[in-house]
Amino acid sequence: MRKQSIVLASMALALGMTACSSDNTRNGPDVDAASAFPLEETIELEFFAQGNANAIKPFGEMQVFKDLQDKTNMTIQWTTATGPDFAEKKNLIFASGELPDAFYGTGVLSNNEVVQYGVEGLIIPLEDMIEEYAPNLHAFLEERPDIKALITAPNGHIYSLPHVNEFDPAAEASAAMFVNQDWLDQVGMDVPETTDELYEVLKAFKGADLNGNGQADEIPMSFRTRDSISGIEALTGAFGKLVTGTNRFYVEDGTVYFTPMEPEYKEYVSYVHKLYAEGLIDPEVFSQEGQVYDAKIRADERTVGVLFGWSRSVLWGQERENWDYVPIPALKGPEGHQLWPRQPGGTTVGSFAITNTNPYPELTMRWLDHVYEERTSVEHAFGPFGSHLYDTDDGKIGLHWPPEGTAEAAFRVQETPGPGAVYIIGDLIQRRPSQQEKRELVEMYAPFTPEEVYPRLMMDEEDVNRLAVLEPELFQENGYIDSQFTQWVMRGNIDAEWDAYVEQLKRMNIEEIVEIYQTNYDRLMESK
Amino acid sequence: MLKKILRSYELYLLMLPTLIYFAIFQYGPIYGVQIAFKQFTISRGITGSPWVGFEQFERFFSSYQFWNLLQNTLLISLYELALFPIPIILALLLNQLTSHRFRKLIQTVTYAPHFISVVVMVGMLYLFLSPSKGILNQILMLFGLDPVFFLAAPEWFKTVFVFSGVWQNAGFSMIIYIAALAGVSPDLHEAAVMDGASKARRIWHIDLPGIMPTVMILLILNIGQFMSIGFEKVYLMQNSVNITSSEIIQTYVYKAGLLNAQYSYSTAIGLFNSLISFVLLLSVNMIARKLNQTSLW
Repeated sequence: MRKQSIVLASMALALGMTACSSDNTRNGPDVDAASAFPLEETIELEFFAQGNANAIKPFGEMQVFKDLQDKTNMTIQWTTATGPDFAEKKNLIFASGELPDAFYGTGVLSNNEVVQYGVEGLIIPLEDMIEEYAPNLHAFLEERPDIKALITAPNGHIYSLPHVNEFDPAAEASAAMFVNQDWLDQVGMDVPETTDELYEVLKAFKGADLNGNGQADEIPMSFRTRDSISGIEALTGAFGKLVTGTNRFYVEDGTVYFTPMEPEYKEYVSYVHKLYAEGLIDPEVFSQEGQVYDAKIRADERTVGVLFGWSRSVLWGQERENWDYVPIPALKGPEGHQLWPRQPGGTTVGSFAITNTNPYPELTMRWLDHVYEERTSVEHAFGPFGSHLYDTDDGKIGLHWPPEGTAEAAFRVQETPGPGAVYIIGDLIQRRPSQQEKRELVEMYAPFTPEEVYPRLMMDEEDVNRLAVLEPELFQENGYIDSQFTQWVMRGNIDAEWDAYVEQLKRMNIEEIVEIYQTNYDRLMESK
Repeated sequence: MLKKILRSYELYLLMLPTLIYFAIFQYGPIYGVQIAFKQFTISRGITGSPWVGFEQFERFFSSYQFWNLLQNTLLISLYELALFPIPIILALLLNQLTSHRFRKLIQTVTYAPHFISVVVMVGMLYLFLSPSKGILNQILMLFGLDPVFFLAAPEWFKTVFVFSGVWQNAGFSMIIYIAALAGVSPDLHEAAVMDGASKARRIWHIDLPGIMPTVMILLILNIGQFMSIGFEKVYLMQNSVNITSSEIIQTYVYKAGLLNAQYSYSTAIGLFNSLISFVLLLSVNMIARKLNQTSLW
């Protein structure tokens, strides 16, 4: 009895202590939403963003944000998370209820999160504020109803603002495939044009000491998986239905297909298994991280024959005379299919959202609208004028080349989050040679890219919640699709297991998932 | 009763911090377990979310991974349990050493790996077991065997996981047994030597019964941990190749809860796991009490 009463008393104490810690409204100066910038009194806001592994400075010290602070007198306290920690930290933020004032950065919230948290009221609708407080963005959306349709949730609200990159080649480009020209010369073969020729080339590479170091360290082909830039998924095109990175839905004549359930995918897996079984594929493909893969490819002593990547400039530097790899065109498959993936455009929804705890939503909106101004946008994308940008004679903006010893990717994120920043860029920029190269690659693959690509659209709340239950086991890293692909590539036995696999997919409600994707696709097409 | 409490209030004061600790950190959070029976959404909070009964549990039991998860978790747990005697054997052997310095040396060498962090440990495993450069495969190749990519082979995963655990922790677990052995009366040994008992006999009839209570308590505690395999190490060792034998309940809960934000679902799975552990603990404790009067309570 005595024991019980003490326990009860302590529990009451504990509950009392937890109950009084949930009041999180902050005190700050009372500022009118329309007061002129820079504000008379400094106000502080907390933003959450995804960090960039290449960046050296924290966001707060980057020049572009310092400039914004001078213009507005608003100080941003940044919290960033990088890599695998990012999703975890973001979920913890929502679960704990300790929301920042805004979420910032390319795709910082997924489309599903935007709808889910928007409907729950954790992030607030912005459509009325855009008209009043974001003239730059408002003008852009008036001009581009297609983008406005993309960022509008099915219930008519705009919960998040976009990152728009229409400076080609980035908008729609995906992977490119390369082969070592020296090696081709040595074995006396041409650049492969069909999947069978690729197989022959890889076989020729196997076991020959092509880099001349006396060791059998040649890897005929290497790649990564779940990656739209260095992933092997681009090869699915040769078999008739595409997988693009982690997007496994393929659209043809308005019908949505789930590629990994189609017979074309079976052919593709069988082909990859054939290569693997004959030792033509790097044994580390399923375990190597991006940096390991890049280092392997960049090593001066070449060990990889065929590989996937963005462009030669990115992999080996600008100087064309140093390139010993040549691009492989979209391969023709055994049935004559010849497709190459493309991305669904340069608009990323969920790149900026204001939370319901933000004491100054209008001012936050006005702060953000600065980055949507044309020239500021370019600065946020590539770095400030002077050190990174210059005005060209024909009225465009030129990009400085990084100083000796600095990589292009690291140079870009010195004074800005670069690809992770929020901006709208179009054709104001003058192409650098490296971008010119990617442009050529994109043009080479363009005739073979599909007309329709499943867009990054927003689904309604019910569908989002249903997919949150159904999708993870299938699609997450090492989920059913991934592990089945890995096992088949390594062990084969695809013909025998295919029917059971399709059955399993159906048990996991793949038909319902496809239907959800189809309905939402149809709705977006109608709204255009 | 109040009088009694007042009379020895100092004792209760001493107890209070511990009670508060347990109330806040151990019992307080149990309040949140209710979301296992709810459809939790952040904006509605724990109390405001609607009840859904056993829906989350049903979803887990009908998941395609359910049997696989259960099997992996149980097999790894059983495997670890089967190797439970290793530190005992080590301690018994070490106890027989006469050279004091050599004994200290062995002790230090065997428990040193305990202090390596899990991340570093898994990194070392990847190096040691690498198919091309790893030391183990070098030895295999020396004997003309084919190298094995241990960390990418589902059939090797459990062995690598459990034995690297033994390597890391056997020395440290041994310390407690050595302490127990020090408590065995030397009189008994002297008497046995007088009677002409061999070393093996003395270990069997004196040392082992002497530390049996310690062994039983540790075994029961170990079974309480059954089903709660250290999540970090498994997660770090996972890749898409060995996933079929490396996905366990703990890693699945992490993915469902923290990566996919399925809070109710992951709570339900965690609760299911705890229930199994609880039942196991109760039954082993009961058996132990019946067999030799040693038990937790």
